[in-house]
Amino acid sequence: MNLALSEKVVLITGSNGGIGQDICLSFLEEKSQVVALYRGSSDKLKDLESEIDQAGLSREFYHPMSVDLSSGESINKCIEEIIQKFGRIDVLVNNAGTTMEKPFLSLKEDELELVYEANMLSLTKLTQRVLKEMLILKSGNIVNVSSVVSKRYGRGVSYYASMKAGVNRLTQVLATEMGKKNIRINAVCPGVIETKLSGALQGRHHKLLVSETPLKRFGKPTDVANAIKFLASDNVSSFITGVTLDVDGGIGL
Amino acid sequence: MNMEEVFEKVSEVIVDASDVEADEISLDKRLIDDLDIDSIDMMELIYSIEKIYGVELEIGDFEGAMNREMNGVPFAKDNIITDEGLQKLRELMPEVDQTKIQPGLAVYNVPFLFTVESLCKLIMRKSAAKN
Repeated sequence: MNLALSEKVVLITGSNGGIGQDICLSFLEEKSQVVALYRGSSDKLKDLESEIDQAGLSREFYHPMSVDLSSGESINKCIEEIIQKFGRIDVLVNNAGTTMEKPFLSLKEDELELVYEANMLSLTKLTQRVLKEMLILKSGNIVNVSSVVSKRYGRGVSYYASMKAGVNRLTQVLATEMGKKNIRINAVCPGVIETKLSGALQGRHHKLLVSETPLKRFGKPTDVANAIKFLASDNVSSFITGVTLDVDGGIGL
Repeated sequence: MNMEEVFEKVSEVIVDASDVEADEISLDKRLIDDLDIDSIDMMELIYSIEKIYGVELEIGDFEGAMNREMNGVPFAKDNIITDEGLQKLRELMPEVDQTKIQPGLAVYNVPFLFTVESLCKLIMRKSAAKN
């Protein structure tokens, strides 16, 4: 299947995360121009960079860029630089996020703000800025990384689940607004994926989660990355917009 | 930069961003009520113009922009344009239907007053301020 993602300018947030790394690798395999967004020290990208080298992928298409997604000014500067360099943005993958597993009544104000900021507000600010560029080009694809807990489960991660449900709804509404401008907005809802983020959860509830999953295994980051590439490709999903695609082995059913 | 040049460019952008045909566009046409430009097309129109001219039109923050222009005299209170704000609007937008600039006018209704000429003048004003 030809995804035709070669040379497409793809922005990926949270590129140093468990799923983020595989999303970057996956688009690099397609020879997309991958702008890997991260916050803070570039040391965070060492794992990703060694994986790029190990996979024999060229760094020619890899463009790491630091950005503080909580700051509109930082986002603006970052997008200006990208436009200066490439002249366009074809795909935005809103992958950055953070979870907070805690009983609802124990969540402190700063923790609520962190979860809101990391999962909803930053995504919204970046999407607004990128959409300006996509509107002018009348072309673009946005894929939001949501979660199975946006639809089912979520006990212990109530606020995170609420934010992800918000991401789903934002995806759907934006899809209705931007369709006429040839911009598609979709989301993926990963189930239990083998990453550091889900490590603790797997450890404690491994047997239960596997037994609850119809496909009887946890997902791999590449499962999510492949679904994202599918949704980002106009060659194979051009009539799909506003979906919140479950990539969860059936656990959300 | 004169009105004719700006009008020509604005017309091109309107045609590109919306379903409006070139021969429907004239300086006196209101963007929303006459040309039927919807909010999404309006966003594309504004961003395209901002890109072309390298200016910020600040239509999304019209009240903030007017407050800055009025040197601290409030343009609006509780979303209703003040008497001083109405006077400023009349000065800046003599081309619009003046009977609409009346006490009680809400800030969110200002975009409905905008004609093609208003937009052209705003571009010229912002470009002049930038230079």
